[in-house]
Amino acid sequence: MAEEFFIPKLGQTVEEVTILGWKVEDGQRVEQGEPVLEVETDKAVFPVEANASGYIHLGPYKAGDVVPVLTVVAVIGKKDDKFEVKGAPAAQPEAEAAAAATPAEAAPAATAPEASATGKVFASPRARRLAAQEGVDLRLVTPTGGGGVRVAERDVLAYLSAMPKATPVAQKMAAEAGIDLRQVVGTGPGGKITREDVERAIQAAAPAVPAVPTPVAPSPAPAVPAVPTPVAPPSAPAAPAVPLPEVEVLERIPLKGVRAVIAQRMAASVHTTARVTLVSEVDATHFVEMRERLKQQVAEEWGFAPGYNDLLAKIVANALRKFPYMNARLTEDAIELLAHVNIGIAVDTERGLLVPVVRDVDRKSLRQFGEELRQLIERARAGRALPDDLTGGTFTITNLGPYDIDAFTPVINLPEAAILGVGRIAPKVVVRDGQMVIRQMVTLSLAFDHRLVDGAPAARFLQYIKQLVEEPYLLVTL
Amino acid sequence: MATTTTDQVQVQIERVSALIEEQGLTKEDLMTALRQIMEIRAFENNIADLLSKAVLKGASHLYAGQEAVAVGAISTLRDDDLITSTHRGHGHAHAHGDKVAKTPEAKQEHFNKMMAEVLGKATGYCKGKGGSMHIADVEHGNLGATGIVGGNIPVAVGAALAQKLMKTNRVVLCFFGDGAANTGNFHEALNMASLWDLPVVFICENNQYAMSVPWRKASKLSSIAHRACAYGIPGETVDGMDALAVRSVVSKAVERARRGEGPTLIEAITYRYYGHSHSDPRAYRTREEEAEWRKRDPITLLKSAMQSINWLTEEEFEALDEAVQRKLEKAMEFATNSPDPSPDELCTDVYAPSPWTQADIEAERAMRERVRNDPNMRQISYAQALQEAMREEMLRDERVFIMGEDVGLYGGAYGATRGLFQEFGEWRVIDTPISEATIGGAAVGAAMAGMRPIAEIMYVDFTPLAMDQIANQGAKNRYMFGGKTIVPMVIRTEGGAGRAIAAHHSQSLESLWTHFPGIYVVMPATPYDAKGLLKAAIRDDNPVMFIEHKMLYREKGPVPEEEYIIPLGVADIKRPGKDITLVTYSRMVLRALEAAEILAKEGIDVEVVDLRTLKPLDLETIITSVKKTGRLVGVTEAYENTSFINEIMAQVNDHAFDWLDAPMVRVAAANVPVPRAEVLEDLAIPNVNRIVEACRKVVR
Repeated sequence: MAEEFFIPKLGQTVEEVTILGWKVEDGQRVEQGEPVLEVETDKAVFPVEANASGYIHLGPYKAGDVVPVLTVVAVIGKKDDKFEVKGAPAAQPEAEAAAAATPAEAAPAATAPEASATGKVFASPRARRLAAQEGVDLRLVTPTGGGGVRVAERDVLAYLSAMPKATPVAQKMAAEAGIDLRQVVGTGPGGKITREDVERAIQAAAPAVPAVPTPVAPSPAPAVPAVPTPVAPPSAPAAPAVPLPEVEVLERIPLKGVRAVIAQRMAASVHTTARVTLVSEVDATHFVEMRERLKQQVAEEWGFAPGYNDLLAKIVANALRKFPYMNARLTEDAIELLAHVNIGIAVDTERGLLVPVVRDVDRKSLRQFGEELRQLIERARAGRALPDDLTGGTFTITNLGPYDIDAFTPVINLPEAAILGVGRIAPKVVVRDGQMVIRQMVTLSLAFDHRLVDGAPAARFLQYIKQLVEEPYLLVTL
Repeated sequence: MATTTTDQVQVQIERVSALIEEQGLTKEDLMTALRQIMEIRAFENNIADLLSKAVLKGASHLYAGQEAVAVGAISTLRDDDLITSTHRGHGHAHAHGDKVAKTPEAKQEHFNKMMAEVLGKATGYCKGKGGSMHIADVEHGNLGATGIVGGNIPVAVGAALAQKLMKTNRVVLCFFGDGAANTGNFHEALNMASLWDLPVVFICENNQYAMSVPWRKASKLSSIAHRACAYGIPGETVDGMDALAVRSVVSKAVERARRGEGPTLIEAITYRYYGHSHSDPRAYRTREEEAEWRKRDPITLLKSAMQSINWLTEEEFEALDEAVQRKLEKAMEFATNSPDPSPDELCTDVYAPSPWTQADIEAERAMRERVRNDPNMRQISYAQALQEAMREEMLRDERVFIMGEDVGLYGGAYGATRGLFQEFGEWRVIDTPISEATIGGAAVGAAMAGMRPIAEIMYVDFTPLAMDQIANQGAKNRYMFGGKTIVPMVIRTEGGAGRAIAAHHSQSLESLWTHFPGIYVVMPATPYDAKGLLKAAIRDDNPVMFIEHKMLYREKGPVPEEEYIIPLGVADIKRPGKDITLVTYSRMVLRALEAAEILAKEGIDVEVVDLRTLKPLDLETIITSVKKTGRLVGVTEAYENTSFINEIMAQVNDHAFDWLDAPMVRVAAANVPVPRAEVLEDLAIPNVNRIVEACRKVVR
């Protein structure tokens, strides 16, 4: 069955792209994950990777064409398939792969995500109108409007695009059988879920086997362990093709999906950046005190206890505003200082490292940041992350403190300029005014890209963060 | 007359004979006057009766007792002369209407229409929309009554100015009461009329009480007529109960005005029999005083004068009285049987029909495209564009003239009338005294009398001084008079902040003007819009408040050499976009466009809708845009509190709620008087940053 290859939505504000060129020939065999097309948005150049393996049949699109996102530009299937558009794309395959462009050394979030459920669903009139028209239950839609409090039209659209296409009969059967259509592989035209697909899913579920078929087509929610897929052959490995010695292999885990992207991006980062890591020991006594007292004061009202990551993100956001050269990226011929301060927090998930991004952290309150981060983490862990949840970061924080790590050398999350590694907070004997005293100490590791920033400016940035951690009451002066 | 001595009879005969001879009156003239007086009396007694029986609702200020003034004065007029009336106007309306009606049937019809109007019927003079206080017959020269004390004195001056400019020898009779003589309008209007020797006769009916306050408690001067000396015009006092005496004095004043020698102030001493209105218990005067005045009743006086020279027999009088009663009965029958106005009439007659067709709108759209795309088009300033508009319209239509403070040799405070005084002379570009109310009111009167005035009020901050004249008279007259008049005038003014001249010279008061029905509000942002809209405003048959922006006069932009107009009520999308609909007007258009460019770099695509005219409002363009973008940001330089943008938000709520994807946001001036210090002024008035922030907020 031919898979439609389409231009993914490359971010919230991207509506169309310019095609820069095909990386493959018409009719050539391609592997899932292989870059086959290069496109340009108003912000950057993006490779678009094959969403399936097979023979690719290109549509009438050439370099220079401006194409709306979600346009089907090729099909991937059998050798004798022909390019034809059968239906709208069912999913946004790039979202997750791009989202996995993350640094190494994942750490779990400092606090567990909690839903900030109030019971009432806030939605814009436009979103309500669309939801009513499309029969969408607004309670199922993740809000991003108004800073995450209101379902906007885009959220309903994102929800709809994440829902697989299914025939009416299939929908009815799935509803009766309590089968989540997102977990069903579609084998109909354009990946549409048919009655047979649902029947298969019901059978699979019947013997109480935990496995439900994982979709072939990219799906935003492959949270259930995969069974072999009917079409996809193994992905092209990102590892170098050096001959390996014969050894006994216990288990072979195909390098694909999030893992494949992590492998590729980490290698790209280490190979291209001029990475320097600065390490500084910081007295976190007041910081810890502040967090404890905050927790007592607000946890009940806010519905969550602000964690070290929340406080650190606010500190880092202030520092990024003060040192804009750290909130930057490198292009071919320029260093671009970025308008927004969007901070990614590295999160360990079942599928690997993910980095949810909270936007405009400098303009958000601690509470707002904390609520958003928890929603993002919840969605990421549930495999329901939206495209914009995991992209657009300008700086990343990764915290391995909970695993008793003191200091480490994180890998920069390209195209960002730096990453802050946070170590364990623990009491230590230190010298103050010639006396040995016990203080809560933490080690901060700042890895930065020397191509953009020199050592001293980066050190000043870290020093500023250190100062704010040591004397956190200064936050109120900012 | 039983106690009258032979000597007294002889004196009266001589006096009456002299008056008749002096004015060349016939018996028929006097019979007409007596009939009119009796008809007014019958009409008012009937209204009083209806009010006391609660058959009739609404306020009625009755003229009984004062009939000799209206009848005596109006009988001196030619049929093409004009009058303005007051809230106590039934007498003026009848004396005038009966005079211009030429057959008994026409006279009955006039009487019927008056009665029907007072009763709020569809067949009334104003289709039941005006009522007792707003009877008018503009077609025949009755410019109407007003509910505002002193409200019509400037209007009369404007009507007289129109006669002078049109070089007719028509005269305007302006009625008002003793109360009105203490309003600012009285001073401004008499000063302006005397300054220009306008053909207007001011008739002050001193009926002793301004509602309840007697003249002696309202003025140091014992006589209102004495005030004439302040304006260098004749002042006369006359017995207002004696129709012949009134006629004598007024006819001299009318002839003087007709000769171009200027106005006269006549104080007619009279008395109203009923209270100020039906609810007045008349506690401020005694019943004895009322009885004394009734001894000199206008009917009694005229009847006895006519009998003294044997021009009236008792039989003739009784026949007349009977005829009056029959006429009244017919009028009541007509009014009672007349239908109430149809509910469909509620919204008709507010505005005169637009002269513009769809073809004009399309032509302008094409012209706009040309202006946008032709890099070689000449660039002129906003001030010059305005000047060209006025110059072209003055050349095209000789009824167009300019009046205002410093519009002449000085060329206007911001230079918009520069050169026109030299080209058109002092009677088409008229420097006025600093009298905003009468500038506004004279424009209303001149417009109703056939001219097309452009009146300049130097700052929009000063327009409240003229608000009664422009809003209560100019904007409402068409509707109140049942759609039977047009008021084609343009008030040019300018507003906005930016020159650090503080709270009396920096405001944006368009909301004051958009609030009133019956007046359009135009606020151009570019030279092209300024010229095309001003030309359209001048040709429009409605009052237009044309508010320029003081910081735009020197801004240059492309303006075609050839003739074009911009129909009122067509917004212009100054920048297309898909993410946000930004609705604004005037100078804020420029700031919105700057903000849009900044936002474009962030991937936020803003559609800037320039309203150009706030009224009529191009709602369709706004709603279409909001349905596309789902987001609305409104930007205005006016105080946020009750700004016009609030109205836009309400309209969008009404018409496009289900298309909204985010709460609507407005960017407006702080709710503080505009401060002088630049730093405070910048905080008070929306700047580019605040517009950018608001846009970011709605897409978040």
